[in-house]
Amino acid sequence: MEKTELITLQNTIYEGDMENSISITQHALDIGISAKTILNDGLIKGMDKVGVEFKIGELFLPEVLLAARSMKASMKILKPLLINSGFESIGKVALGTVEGDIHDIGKNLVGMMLEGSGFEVIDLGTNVPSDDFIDVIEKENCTVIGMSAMLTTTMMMMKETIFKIKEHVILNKVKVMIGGAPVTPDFATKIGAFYSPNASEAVDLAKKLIAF
Amino acid sequence: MIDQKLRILSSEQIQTIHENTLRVFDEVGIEVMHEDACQMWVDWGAKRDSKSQRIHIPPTLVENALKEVKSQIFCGAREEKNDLLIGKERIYGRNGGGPGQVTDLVSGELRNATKEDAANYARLVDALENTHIAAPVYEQDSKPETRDIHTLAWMFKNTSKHINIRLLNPSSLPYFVRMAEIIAGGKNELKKKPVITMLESPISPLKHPAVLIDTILTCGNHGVPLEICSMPIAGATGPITLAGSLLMSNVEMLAAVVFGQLAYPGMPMIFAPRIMVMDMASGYALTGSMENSLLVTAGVQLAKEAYHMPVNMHGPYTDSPISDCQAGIENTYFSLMPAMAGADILTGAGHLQGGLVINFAQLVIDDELIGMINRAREGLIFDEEMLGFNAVKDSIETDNLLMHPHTIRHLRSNRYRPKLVTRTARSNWQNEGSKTMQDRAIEKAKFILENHQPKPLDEDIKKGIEELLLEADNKLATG
Repeated sequence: MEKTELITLQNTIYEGDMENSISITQHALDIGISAKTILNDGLIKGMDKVGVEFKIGELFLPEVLLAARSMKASMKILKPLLINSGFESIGKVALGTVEGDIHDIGKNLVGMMLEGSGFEVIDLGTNVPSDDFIDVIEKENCTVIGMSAMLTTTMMMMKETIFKIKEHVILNKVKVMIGGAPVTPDFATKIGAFYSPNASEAVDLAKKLIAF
Repeated sequence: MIDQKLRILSSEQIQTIHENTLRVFDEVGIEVMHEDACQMWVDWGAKRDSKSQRIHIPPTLVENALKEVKSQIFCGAREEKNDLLIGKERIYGRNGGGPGQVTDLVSGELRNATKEDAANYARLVDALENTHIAAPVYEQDSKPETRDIHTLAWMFKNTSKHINIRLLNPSSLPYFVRMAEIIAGGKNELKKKPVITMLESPISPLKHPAVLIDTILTCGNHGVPLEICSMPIAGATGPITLAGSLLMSNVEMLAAVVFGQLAYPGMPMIFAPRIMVMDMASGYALTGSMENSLLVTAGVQLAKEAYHMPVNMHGPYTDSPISDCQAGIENTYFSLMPAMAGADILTGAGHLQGGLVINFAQLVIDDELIGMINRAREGLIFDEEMLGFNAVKDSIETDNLLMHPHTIRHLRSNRYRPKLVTRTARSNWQNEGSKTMQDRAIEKAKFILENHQPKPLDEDIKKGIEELLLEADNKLATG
């Protein structure tokens, strides 16, 4: 019974069926499955399949977004229970599009994929000044920061933002991951950041960085 | 000039796009992120949603504005031989502008653009015969706050062709105009001989940002031509269907045109709906797909048939990161289709990777491609002489026509001779070093950069520009 319920949940997440994800999550709780089991064996397993198929080009981006949205809706139900039982997210990541840039599709996708993999995500939005990144590091105790830029011109703002972060916090404590159309692995290395070419690889990268 | 243009939309379909554009104006509106502009719209009779900056444009305003639109635009240049009349018959090439990265001509490596690159890119354009309008690569050496102003100065110093440039910082706008005035010789002279075209964009979906409004008003006031370029991404910031994104783009474009024409009737504007297409698997915003090409072709038809405006389309454009076969294929169809539909300017020579990278050798190749495209646009001439009835008649006596007077008369007319392609026997090609087109393009680029010097600026003009740059750095740049 428990197993069937979790497999159905995996499928509704994979299919991006938000309504049924919510009702099955609720039902799973009602029949006595723990929030932690629902998260790990239902939601995250469903999203894992999404991540794998997205990486090989089988699933398209909007399908990933729908799946992530379903996951988020289910998480809303589980979160209070998880917190009560002392469960912690696998890590906290703050994301933002750097100052001067308003492009956010890629950044939002990374955020959704991270949430889908069990991260807590703080989205700082677009046109984010370096002070906001510093604030979130200090106040929220974030150890991984994600920055996005879509333009070759605003890409350089990543460098400046990292420079300013360095003035305030010890960079060893904080890891910066960057992405966006003009960004290259070389550029990331040069400015002391880590690069991933797409949202699903950003999740793999975040997992590595959080384990540092 | 070709007699029949390529049409992928019927007149009814064009009418449908226009009618639905008016419907979006009415039912949805455009967000005008500029208080003064909102007030201007209201004063003209547009409706504004309470508590927001959403403007609904009535059809009468659109009609009135479209009566003012200029179908031909004069684009002046530092040297008279480079003056252009846009929207007449022939097609002009403009190189790709905007990136801050170049492929190094010697090592082939991707790196940040330097001041030297900015100068060299302009100098290369200055020398190439089919690239008529120069757009910049933004060097990454100078301070970000005044980088665009410095870039414009590099352009003026290194080419005497008409320049197309966009702001990186809204605060640079008055400096662009002042520098153009220094070059043209004054405020009125700039109006008569606009030496720059500016480019600005709506933000999809359906927003007019303040920088677009300010640029429209400044260009209108100073007689500087303005290219309005809307770039929804089909599937992301625009509808996934091609017709849907065409509609979205047309709404954003037409609202900007109407605003400009009502503020400054007859102001020179260029239509440039350059819709991107999202690859739904990778999330990459494509610029070189066949769908893109269909959209630019449709965009040309909208500009020409619905609004009678000059139109500048992405011409050679490719998603390939290197100068390869993919770049060749995409650049070709992407230039040929809008050109045959009647585009006035093709934009993108020298770009790779969807406009993120500048490659000097690719610019040389694309320049040649534009030459071929221009030849295609000229089509066939059909008068008695060109029909060559007598040559046909005489052929039965001479067996071939190699030395026929008709052949001799037309040896050098009618044919475009590309310089980079191989048109020789394999053995000759091998004897010449078995070079690929890319090899020859790199050689040509190097040769130009070693030998070509643009017409220098007069000393007093140069001094004026240096003073302006100093002032901009003092006022705008921090640290």
